[in-house]
Amino acid sequence: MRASETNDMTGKIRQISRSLLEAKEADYVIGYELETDGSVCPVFIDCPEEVEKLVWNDRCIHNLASFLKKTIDDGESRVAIVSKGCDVKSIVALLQEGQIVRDKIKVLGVDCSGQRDEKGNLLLKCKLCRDHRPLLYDSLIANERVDVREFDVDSVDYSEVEDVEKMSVEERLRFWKEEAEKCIRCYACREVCPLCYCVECFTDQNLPKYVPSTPSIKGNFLWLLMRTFDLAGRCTGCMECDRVCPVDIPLHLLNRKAIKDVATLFGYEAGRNPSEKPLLAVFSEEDPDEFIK
Amino acid sequence: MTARVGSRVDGVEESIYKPYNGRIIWMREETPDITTFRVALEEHEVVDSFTSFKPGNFVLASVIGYGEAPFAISSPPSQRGSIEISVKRLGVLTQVLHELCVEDRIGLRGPYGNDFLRGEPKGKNLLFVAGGIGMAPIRSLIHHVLDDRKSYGEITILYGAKSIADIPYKKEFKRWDRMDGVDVVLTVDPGGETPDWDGRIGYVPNILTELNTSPKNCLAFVCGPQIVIKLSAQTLSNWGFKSRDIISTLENRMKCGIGKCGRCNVGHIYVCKHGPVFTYEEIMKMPNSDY
Amino acid sequence: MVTEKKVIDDEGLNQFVSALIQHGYAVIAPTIKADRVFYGVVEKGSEFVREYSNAQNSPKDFLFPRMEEILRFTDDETVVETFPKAVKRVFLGVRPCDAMAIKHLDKLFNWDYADTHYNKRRGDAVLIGLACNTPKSSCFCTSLGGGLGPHHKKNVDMMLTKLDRSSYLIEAVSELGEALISLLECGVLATSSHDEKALELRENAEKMITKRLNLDETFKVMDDNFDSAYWKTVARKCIGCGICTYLCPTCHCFDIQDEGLFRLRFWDSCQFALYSKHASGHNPRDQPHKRFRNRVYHKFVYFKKNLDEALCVGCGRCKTYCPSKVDIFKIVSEAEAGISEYRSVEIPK
Repeated sequence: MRASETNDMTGKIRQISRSLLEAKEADYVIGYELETDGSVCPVFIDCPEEVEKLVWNDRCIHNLASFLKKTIDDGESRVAIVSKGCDVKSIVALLQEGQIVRDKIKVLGVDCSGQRDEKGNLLLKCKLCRDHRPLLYDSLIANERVDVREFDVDSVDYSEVEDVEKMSVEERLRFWKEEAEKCIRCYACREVCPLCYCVECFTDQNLPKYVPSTPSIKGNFLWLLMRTFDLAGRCTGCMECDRVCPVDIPLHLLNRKAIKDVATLFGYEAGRNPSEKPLLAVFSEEDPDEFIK
Repeated sequence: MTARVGSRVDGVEESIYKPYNGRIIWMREETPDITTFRVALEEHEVVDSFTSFKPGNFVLASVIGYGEAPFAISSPPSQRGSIEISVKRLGVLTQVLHELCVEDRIGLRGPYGNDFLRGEPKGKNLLFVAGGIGMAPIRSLIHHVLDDRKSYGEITILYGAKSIADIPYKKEFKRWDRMDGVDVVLTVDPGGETPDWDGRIGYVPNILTELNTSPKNCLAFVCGPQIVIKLSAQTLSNWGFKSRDIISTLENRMKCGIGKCGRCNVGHIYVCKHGPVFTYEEIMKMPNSDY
Repeated sequence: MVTEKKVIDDEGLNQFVSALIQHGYAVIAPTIKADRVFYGVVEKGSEFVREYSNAQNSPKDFLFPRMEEILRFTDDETVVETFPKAVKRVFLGVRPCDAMAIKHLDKLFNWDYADTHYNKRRGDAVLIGLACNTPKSSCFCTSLGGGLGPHHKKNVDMMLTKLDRSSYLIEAVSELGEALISLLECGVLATSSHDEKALELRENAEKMITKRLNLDETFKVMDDNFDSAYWKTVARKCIGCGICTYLCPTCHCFDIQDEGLFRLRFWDSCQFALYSKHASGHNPRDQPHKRFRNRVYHKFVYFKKNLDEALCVGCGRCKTYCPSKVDIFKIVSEAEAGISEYRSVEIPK
């Protein structure tokens, strides 16, 4: 992204945030601020004077929608949130599941042509992205240089998932065992995920205790697989879980496998339409049922 | 039973997490969800300092496969050869404990913690205020005090439970009430009484206000749910009790019991190590929005 | 004690590692694993990475592993302790911050009760430090007391200082180090010019650490302002995972649970809700900001009150790997200013 683009968009974000805060239409704004090492991190802005902290560039990786989980507990705050196309899908998913109230959030949708890591490489989720322009917003921070055409649904690239699918069962088991052994059960994947909002996570349940809390291979395997299944049909593929994992487990492979299966079996994609019911919350007579013998 | 400290006098290393093997030699269902267990250590365990615990100390009791939890010792040090714990059924381990019978094994670790009688309680009048399962450590203290009756003055015991069925140690309360210079006041929450109940009806802190105990030369021990402690301590302060003469216990989730796993802290104070007994003066210094 | 100093090159260092391994030591050093630097067991000297700021994990993983069996129950229901096997170990390439962290863990695990499981792993583990010539912008070790700095030698048995592209000053600091330095077959005796170079590197490194904190003032400000709304606002971008606690070289909280016939001890984090939740359902730290505040206070107030040290060595891992880049240095160094801003605002319960 060119400096002129980032400056323009940064300016617009600050201006909109300032007016929302001054008009008391938002209690706080969640956006991005610059970190000392050149990266970017989330920031909470409470008053108009602080909006100068807000920035927009191609390091704005975080899915800020996960902070909306905090508004669930509060229920009263009105939040303005800077959101990319991928982040907005999480917001839509939260709306679909009745977890946030639409008129309590103000979405500052931002046109995005991709985010980059510290080495300047385009992120994987951006290579696969079709939502350069958010599909829902209250204010749009547009960028004419961003390609906002509708993309072809069938052109979704699942090659990483297919690479694992091509492995034999033994190879796959060995692959996932090696990954599961690394897990330290820090639960960063769960906490950063906008859709992991259960008041009591299944791993914390005690009566009965059916998932070991210990970072044993059994506990870790159960954790990774069960979370994937709990997110199936709901995960929008923001890949934050993958980004935050401190031991580099390729969590995106698990969740994208679920996304692929959900698309293939049910023709469904999470996070597209706020008034749509989540896939696994509804039953239709046309649902595939060859497994019922 | 003395707490393991890591290495023994004979130079053998031991784990501070290793429980002593104990066996249930007696049990009594006090209420629908409280059972008292009397546990004796196996002969091969170190028993020479078995009764060196003090009222207020706690142990970590465990059942193989189900883990450990802290319980106040509810028997007095004079009861040789065994200790008692009164367990309220609340979660996984306590549920399993309630399913045990006499002769079954229980692991015990401890005793840990500080005690009720630091300082000079002898010669004083004593007021005991307890609610719910908070009576467990107080019972140890009452028995201990009655073992040396002439060293103490007037004794008043106020205990309250949700209902009559929820009152533990019923026989002991009756026995204590019959003693000279001991006054027992039992109360149940409104709605917890039956027509033939001759005790009081009301919440413990409210009934306390009716007692008008003189703070002169008196120590107050308060144990129970947080709200009971808080309100009772306020009443006692209003009567003129000094906050260091109001003694209570705090509880918190515990795992190691020895100040290493980190979790039972209130501020920098570890309930397992610096407590569980604290004076009200100490409690008031703790950060209350963390407890 | 004669502190022998020698200068060796990369090949000499490799030979030293082989000699250690031949003498029965397991050598644990920073190595490259999938593009990141991690402490791991090395089979040969060339696996020991020498150009790095700090490893993602710390020696803590080997002294206080993320999961270990502490007891097991035999068929006849007796309890048997499970102690780690005695292994001679050398931790090679330990930064002074991580070496200081080990000292703090030594204190905690022996506070009144000696944790034999930890002590056996700690045992005669030899620490060979690697002085830090280019601290990262997130480092702030010099503020944490005890003389800690990028070249601090006090907590290691031997110290390596990289003098230039391929030569290292190597010196014994303790008796254990003295005994091992005899395994070095090569190298030349250090001269005063080597010492001067080392001193120059040290001074440069200390200058590079621009983040400074006054521990005593911080302690006082924090101790007096536990209820400030400041702690709630700075915690907002914390997501409540356990990365900071698990990667931190001084964090030591753990859980103990039984699985079948085994009693296991494993890492736990004060950032999880379950950490302090009572069986009754009451949770004293039921909100994320209370848990966050508890961690910061444990580091800069509570450990100081109980064991006279700050429980932080300024390594910066918590910020580097935090999903939201929460900066504990920023939070405590700006505490005084931040708290006065919020003086009229009390945190609602």
